[in-house]
Amino acid sequence: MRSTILRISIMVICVLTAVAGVQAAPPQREKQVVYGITPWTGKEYGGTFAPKGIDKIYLLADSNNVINTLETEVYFWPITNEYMANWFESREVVEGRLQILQDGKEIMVLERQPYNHYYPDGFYAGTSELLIGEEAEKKLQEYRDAIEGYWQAVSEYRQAYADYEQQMSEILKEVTETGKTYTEDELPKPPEQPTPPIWYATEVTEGFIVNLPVGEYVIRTIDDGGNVVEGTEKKLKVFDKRRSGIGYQIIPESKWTRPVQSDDATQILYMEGSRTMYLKAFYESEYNQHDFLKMTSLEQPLAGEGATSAYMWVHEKEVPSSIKVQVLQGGEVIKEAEYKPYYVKQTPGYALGYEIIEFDPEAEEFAGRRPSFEAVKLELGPGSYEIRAVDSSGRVLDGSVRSIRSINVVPMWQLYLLSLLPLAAGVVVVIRRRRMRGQTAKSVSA
Amino acid sequence: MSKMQYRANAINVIARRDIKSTVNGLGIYVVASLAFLVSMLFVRSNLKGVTENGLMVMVNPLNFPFFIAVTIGATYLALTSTMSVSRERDQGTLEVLFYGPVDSVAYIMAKFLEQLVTFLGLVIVYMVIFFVISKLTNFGMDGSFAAMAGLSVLLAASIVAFGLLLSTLCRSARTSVILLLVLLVLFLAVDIVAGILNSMSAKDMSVTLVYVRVAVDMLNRGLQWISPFGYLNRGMGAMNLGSAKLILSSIGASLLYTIVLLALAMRFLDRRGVRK
Amino acid sequence: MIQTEGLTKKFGSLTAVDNLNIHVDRGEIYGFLGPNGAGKTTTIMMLLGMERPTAGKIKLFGKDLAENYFEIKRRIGVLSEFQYLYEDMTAKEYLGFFADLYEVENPDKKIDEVLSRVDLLDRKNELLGGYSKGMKQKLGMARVLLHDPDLLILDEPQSSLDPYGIREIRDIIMEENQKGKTLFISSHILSEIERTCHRVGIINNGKLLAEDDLTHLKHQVANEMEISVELEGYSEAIASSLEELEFVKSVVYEDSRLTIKTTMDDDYRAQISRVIASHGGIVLSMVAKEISLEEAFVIITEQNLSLLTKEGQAS
Ligand SMILES: Nc1ncnc2c1ncn2[C@@H]1O[C@H](COP(=O)(O)OP(=O)(O)O)[C@@H](O)[C@H]1O
Ligand SMILES: [Mg+2]
Repeated sequence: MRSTILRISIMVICVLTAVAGVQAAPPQREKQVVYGITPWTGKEYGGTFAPKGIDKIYLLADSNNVINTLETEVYFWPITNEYMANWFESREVVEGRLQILQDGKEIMVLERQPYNHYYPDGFYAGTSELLIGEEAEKKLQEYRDAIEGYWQAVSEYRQAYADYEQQMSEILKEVTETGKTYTEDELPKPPEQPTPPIWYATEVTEGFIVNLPVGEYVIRTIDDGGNVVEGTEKKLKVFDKRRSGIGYQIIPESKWTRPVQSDDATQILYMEGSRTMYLKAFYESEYNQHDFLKMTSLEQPLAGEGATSAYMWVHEKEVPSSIKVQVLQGGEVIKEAEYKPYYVKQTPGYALGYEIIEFDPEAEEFAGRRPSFEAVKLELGPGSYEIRAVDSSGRVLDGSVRSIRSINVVPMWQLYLLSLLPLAAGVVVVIRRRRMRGQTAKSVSA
Repeated sequence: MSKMQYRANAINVIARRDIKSTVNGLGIYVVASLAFLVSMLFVRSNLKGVTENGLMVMVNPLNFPFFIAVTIGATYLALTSTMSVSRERDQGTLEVLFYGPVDSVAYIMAKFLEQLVTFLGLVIVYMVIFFVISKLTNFGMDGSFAAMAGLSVLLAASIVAFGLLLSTLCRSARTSVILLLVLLVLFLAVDIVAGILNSMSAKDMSVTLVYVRVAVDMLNRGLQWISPFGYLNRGMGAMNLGSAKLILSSIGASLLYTIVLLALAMRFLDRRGVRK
Repeated sequence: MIQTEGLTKKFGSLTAVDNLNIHVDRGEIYGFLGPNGAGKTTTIMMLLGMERPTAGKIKLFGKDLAENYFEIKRRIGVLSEFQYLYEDMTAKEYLGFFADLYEVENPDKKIDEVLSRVDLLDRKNELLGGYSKGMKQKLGMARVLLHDPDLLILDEPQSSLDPYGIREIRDIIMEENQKGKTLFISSHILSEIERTCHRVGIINNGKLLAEDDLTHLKHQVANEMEISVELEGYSEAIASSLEELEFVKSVVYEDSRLTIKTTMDDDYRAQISRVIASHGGIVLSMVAKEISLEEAFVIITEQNLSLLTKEGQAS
């Protein structure tokens, strides 16, 4: 009931603010105590915050999440319907501890801990790990050392390169003046350019590391005097995935930019006639849509609204390309295909305007090019199939079985005719009954 | 003989008479064909979807047409049972039954079983024809279709019980029929719209659509224990999750719903009386 | 067989049945009399458990209906005031349905038997929609007989019948009674009740006014008896002597007939004929004309006369 009222009031607020937004251009800015949230989303660390107007926070169960009590300037941006925080100009840490309650009883009190994010594959590629305490400091130090080492190497490289150029110009001078010849081996080698470390670690900051089992909680920030900091009491819902499985992305050869997705066994792949397609398999988890969207986009009051009974699959990471996809017909494995790199080659004469060919790194044709995608290629003729993913030891991955069926295009009149069968039966019954009645009536009157 | 045996006999005799008159009438056949024709429209659009896209991922495209056919069939049966209770009362034939060894429990159970048996017959016809369609189109009949077919019986049971309750609750046949149709259409609309909204991606939803979804979601949650379709959805969800506990509890809830409605119908019939 | 105690039914402010105590014995034909709207049908419906009494108790076969619902219902045959049939069935199908409902043994034979008793055997394959009102009434009677009930409750069984039908039903009533069956018949056709019933209960405005056997009842109601004498040799002296008698209320001579009204307390015919003879008159015939049930009924209901309590007694 309360959440219903909340929801309605959010709607009203949104409409009002939307209307207000049209009239008054600069949104109202307000200093507020908020929770900055770095939730683990099953795939990566997200970032959101809970301003004054939002009283419930969502986190995934049994994972490390970061929450931080901060004071900042908040405003509502009506165009995108979200709260914004002016982190760059105002961000103050609100001192204190985080108290967590369940059923009105305190279950833990957290102190701020130092943490940072470590990106093993670089900031822009892949996911990060959350490092806490000494580990964070250590990783940051390693990173700093690595960067320092890199700069060291760069300056050494510059020196070496200058030396090299010096030598080369001297040789050149000698050659032009004396006509002396040098074999390639006799020439000095240019120094090798150092590469910067691709991995990355962020600065160490402090926050509350929250890791809880599924449940409904209340959190609040307690200052040194033991008092609750005003505006810091909020509800916290910790939820978990409903299912996990294997999801497929299916790239049709005929529309390679428009992949389709099959997330569970009820999602059958239908095709017409014979088709060629490219499959990518993902580990995936299924979450309540409302809770998941609240967790990732809490600053958007509309996110996940009305989706309390909807579930969504989230593709988390690609399965290792060592897996194979088996095609079965009538329970027998008839084909097995593996991951290969493919290249989409624009060929104007071709019907589709392109063709998808296997990428061969050795071939001259592909020199200097990268594969368009890596996937498992399936070519299927008319019929009904099942596919499944198996790992290198031949074990079937849970939740990886799917049906693929090639449909027959039936003329509609056949289906309509079929529909009329019951009516025909009914007419027969009724006529027979009439006739029976007629006979008995006749026999009576006779 | 025990009370139960007497009652069983009354149920058996009354239900048999009614089934006979249903089978001998044209109505049920017209409805079956109508249900198929409507569901063929969906089959057709699904066929078209696949041919136009070449490749398409969807849950068994026969599920929804089958659901529509089942809903049409069950609604027709609920309507006829609603009308037949009111009509029998108005004609006085109900009163005559109660002169003899018939009580409200026997009468309501007879009406209920009659419709359920008729529905089972209908489902068998549906299954045969949908089987032929699945073969013709190669849409196939997978586990989710089997789940749908199995749960459709529970759906029909709860829709018929719902109709019986309304027929004993309302003074006139017209009121109960109108109420039944209005409520079922509302339940169905909320169910279908909620289903569509839930399957839409939340990201590219306009603000207005979000409000619509919030409203529908609230309605849907309010109706989930009242609407027969709420029970079907829980059953389908449980089947898809493959959790035996959930399947059993959703079946149990659906049966309980039906039993409660029937018990209420018996009480209302007792209270209202069987006379004109 | 039937016993009620303080049976009362209120429809809002209207008391349709008011503190009714009736009792019907095994093997008797009980006439339940009352003008339209008296509460007869309401009483019957309460007996059958189809109207909930506002107050009071009912015993059928000495038992509570609610506790022995099916056993009791299977031993009762009920003919309602109006006939409600499945019009899309034939008589045979209709009776077949009820035969199944009552689990009648040898149903086909039994159906033919009851149909011939109501003279409908040759129309058993006709749709009931085409039956006349009287035929429907008779078919209803056939349904009542189908399961050979011990107690027959008939609500105005002859109301829409022709004289033939009335007689058929009367014969059936007598036959059933002969077989030892108990009959509870509500009616306002008093002549029929008078012919068949052993005992009657008279109800008006929901109240039972009288419950007694017929002769007793009539005696209680009428306060005078009319004796009609056909005689030869009339003289004024005969009339005046008769008028002097204590029990004679009036004497009228007309068309060679002497009409004498006496009190009801005894049979005075012998005394009257003696007086006539003593004055030279010759009695050719003498008829004591008893009050009819109809007259008694009119008297009771019009005056709302209760014969059940001491102070209400008429004589
Ligand atoms: N269901 C009812 N609602 C209101 N009044 C009723 C109802 N049934 C009967 N009555 C009234 O109760 C009285 C007795 O009716 P009824 O028992 O049918 O009389 P009878 O059968 O002796 O002609 C009548 O005044 C009638 O109008
Ligand atoms: Mg009556």
